[in-house]
Amino acid sequence: MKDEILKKIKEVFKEDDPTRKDTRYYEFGGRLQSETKRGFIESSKRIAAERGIPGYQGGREDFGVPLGSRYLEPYYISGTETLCDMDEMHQINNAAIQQMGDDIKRTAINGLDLPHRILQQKVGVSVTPETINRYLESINHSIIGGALAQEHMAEINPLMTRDGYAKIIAGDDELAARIDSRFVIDINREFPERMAEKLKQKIGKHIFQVARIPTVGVRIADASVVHRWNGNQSALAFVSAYSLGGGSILAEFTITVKHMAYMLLGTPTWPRRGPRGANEPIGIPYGYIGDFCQADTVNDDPVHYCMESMAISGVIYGLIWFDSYVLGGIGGANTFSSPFTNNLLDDFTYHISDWVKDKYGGFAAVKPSFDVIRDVTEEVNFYGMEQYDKYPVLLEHHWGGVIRLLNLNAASAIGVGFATGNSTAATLAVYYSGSFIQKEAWGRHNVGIGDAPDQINIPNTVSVRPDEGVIPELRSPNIPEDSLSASVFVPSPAACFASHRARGDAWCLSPIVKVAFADPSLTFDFKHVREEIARGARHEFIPAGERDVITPSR
Amino acid sequence: MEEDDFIDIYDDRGKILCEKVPLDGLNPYKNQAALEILHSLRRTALIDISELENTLRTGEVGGTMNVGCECQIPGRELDLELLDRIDEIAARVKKLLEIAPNDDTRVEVADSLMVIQIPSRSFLVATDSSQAYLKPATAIVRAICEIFELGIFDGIEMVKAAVLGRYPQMTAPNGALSALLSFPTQVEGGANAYRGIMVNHIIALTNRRTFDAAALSSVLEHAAVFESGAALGAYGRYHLFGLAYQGLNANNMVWELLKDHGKGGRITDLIDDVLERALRDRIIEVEREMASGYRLYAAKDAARWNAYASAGLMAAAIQNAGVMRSGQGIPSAMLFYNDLLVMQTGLPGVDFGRALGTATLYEYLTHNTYGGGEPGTFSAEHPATRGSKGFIIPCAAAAMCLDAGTQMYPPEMTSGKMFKLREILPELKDPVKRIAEAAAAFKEVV
Repeated sequence: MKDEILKKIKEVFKEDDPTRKDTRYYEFGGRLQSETKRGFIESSKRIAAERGIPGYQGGREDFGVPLGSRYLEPYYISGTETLCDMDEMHQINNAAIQQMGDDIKRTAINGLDLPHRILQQKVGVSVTPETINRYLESINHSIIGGALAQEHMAEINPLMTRDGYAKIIAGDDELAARIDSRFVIDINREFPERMAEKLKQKIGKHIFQVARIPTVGVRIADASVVHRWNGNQSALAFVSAYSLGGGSILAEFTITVKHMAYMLLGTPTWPRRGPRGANEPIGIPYGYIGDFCQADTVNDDPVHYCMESMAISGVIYGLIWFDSYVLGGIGGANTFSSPFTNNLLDDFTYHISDWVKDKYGGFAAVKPSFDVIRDVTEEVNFYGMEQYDKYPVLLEHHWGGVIRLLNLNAASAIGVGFATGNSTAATLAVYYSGSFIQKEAWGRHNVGIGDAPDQINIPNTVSVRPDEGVIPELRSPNIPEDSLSASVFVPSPAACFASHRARGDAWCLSPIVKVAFADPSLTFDFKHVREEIARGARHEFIPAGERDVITPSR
Repeated sequence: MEEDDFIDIYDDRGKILCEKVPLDGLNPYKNQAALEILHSLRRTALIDISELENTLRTGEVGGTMNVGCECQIPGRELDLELLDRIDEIAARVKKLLEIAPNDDTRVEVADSLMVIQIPSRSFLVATDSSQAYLKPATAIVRAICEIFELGIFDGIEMVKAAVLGRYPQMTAPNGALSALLSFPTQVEGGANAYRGIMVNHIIALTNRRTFDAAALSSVLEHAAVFESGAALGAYGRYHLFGLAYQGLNANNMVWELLKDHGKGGRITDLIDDVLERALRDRIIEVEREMASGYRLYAAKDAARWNAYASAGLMAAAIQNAGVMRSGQGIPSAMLFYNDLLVMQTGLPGVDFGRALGTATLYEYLTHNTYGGGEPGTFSAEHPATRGSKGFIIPCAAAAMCLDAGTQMYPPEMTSGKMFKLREILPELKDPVKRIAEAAAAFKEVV
């Protein structure tokens, strides 16, 4: 294990000798050992007095399992110097984590080529950079709640929707240069030249609109509201900017803007999963996690990019989807924050990254095969297990099987992804790691459902049968077999972003999504994911969508 | 059925096709031609192999946009000469799908289009229409993998993604393969699968022949009604008369209305004519005459009155689109026909008011920013158009055949493959004639 990581672990556990095996019980003071939790207890007493109903009662010892048996270690946010209590990683306590989810949910992307074609062919008007600018001014009025049809309609207080806006993406430099720079996500500015050229080449002459509906919009409805909000306001902006009359042209614009060239970040779910509408986390494909992450635009280190991406996966699929929608708010925060806390996954990943470079001479340098999958997966698992054996504090920190499994599965996927550049091989590493190596070594596996999803998914991964064999970039927790275990759906995106990073690709699944999240106007900065989470933990992150404008101040 | 429930069916030239056939001869459970149409639609999938080849070559799979593809997986591009070996693929697909040697499994190739019909015997086990997607898709993927000898890491999952899209990450396939019926998860409500076929598809399947589009659409609509149980009891007769008069030009009524009023006629002229015919044939009678001379009518036979009124509705839609050679006004014409009919007679409008309500929604959503597009992009299963079971979409399908290219999303764009399908599947050709012949040969099912 790297010295600097071990040093932090020692600091976290206040332990000079991390190899020490003896331990103590029932003398840590339960929740009272934590300053944060002591604060919760005090606050809840005031709340109970005010409302007359008891709420949080963390001071009681007759709730749940015997308390005080365990030391409540603080957490470093990996890659940062921020140390905080575990409670700061809970999605409700961390404004940055919430905003990350909101910024993804509230993103609407649609092509503008088709509406422009209708304008030119059917309405007979010219579409020029000047008219596009006028349209963009209109949409930036309507997308945050300004009325375009009639001024006597109730409008939204702009202070409530200050984070809403619309911009465009264009692959053509000449066109982009003629659009008002306030409304352009500038590929040349946001990406290193190598990536920018690839992205521009793929996007080409097409123009896409990227709209962010106000955060408050996804806080009063589910994320499927984004599709309609964007569709209606875009249609009205076209009506206004191009002085369109009533009648059929409106319907043609509406179907075009709302449906024909609209892309879904997340697709609706199977009924047994909720059901949830579009843009909800469960329907977001694994390939997009690496596209949301922009760390590769500011840092050349592939491991750094993978760790930043794992933080997004832990938050979106773990904290927001599973811990909130499935578990009901409590039970998952320690597990799902583990990929981005206390640098353990970083250590596993740096180890396998170096090993792959030594063994194969570089990244994406060997063809995918079962032999390669086995060699890489065994190497990273044996390394990780040795660390857990050598340093009991690591087992104390990763106290649940699912936590160890999740991190070793992710490191396995990253290792095989680095070695082969093939997401399918890397996905197989997730299942091989979980279902065979750890089970055999430790004799146990995960929580109650054991290795069921891994066993099912090994044959499914390369199957031609209709309910199986979805290419990893297009998978998501909405696939029934993937939905069952956090040890599957949190590490699985690693198979995609590690493989594409190893190949030097500029995106994993969509160049448009990659550019959309490079936007510096976003409230959450996807270039510095873990630093943003750390700001949230320090209570320094300022989110959007707050209601203080319309409420009495406390 | 009543004892005198017999009809004559005429073609789109006003020529009689069959005479005095029993109404029950049109029952979708009993009319052999209707059964063949419905069965064919249930078991047919199609895929453009050239499109599939291009998708694999570019790596653009799994997109959610209707036009274009936002997804592209770098490094997973596959260069397979599928079109060069299309016959080999077709032969292997057929072999894979056959339940018994030489059963009625069909795999036809027309240029780059592959049309696949799963064997009829499949339906002995089927519980829904998903097999029309899943069996052909699996057979194609397997055939390609076998023929091109693709190993586990050679892109099998990419071929599958190109054919079926993200399924089952998404709740329905979104790849290169499509079927005529919607995937079950995309159908809202039970027994609505036949209603999910878009108007533009029907136009393409009937090669823009107005009366054929009316017939095909009407058969689909009323078959759905029978499937759902909504046609049990008195409603059976009600729907079969609707199918006959509106969809199959029974007693040449639609044709004559158009011939008499097509040039210079107005919707009110059509209504007057329908009223005269209904009075003449003792379908309705004058119930009361007000002091002003305004007459209120009463229906003596509600099912027949609805059939007459629905024939008038069909004529109104066709006339409106025909004189303009544009389909955009069809929902409005249906709205005003029903509105004026009710105001003028005091009788129920088509489908007891459901057609008026549905046409109002249809008109609204094809003309404003809350909307859902042009008339041709709707199907009968859409929330706006589902309100009238059987009496609105057939009119739209028939009338839209006369559109001379005024739409941004015409059948040629949305349903190009369907035009070829009609040539490959003879059961879809000349539905009016074929259904009439089957009705003439009708014998009670035992």
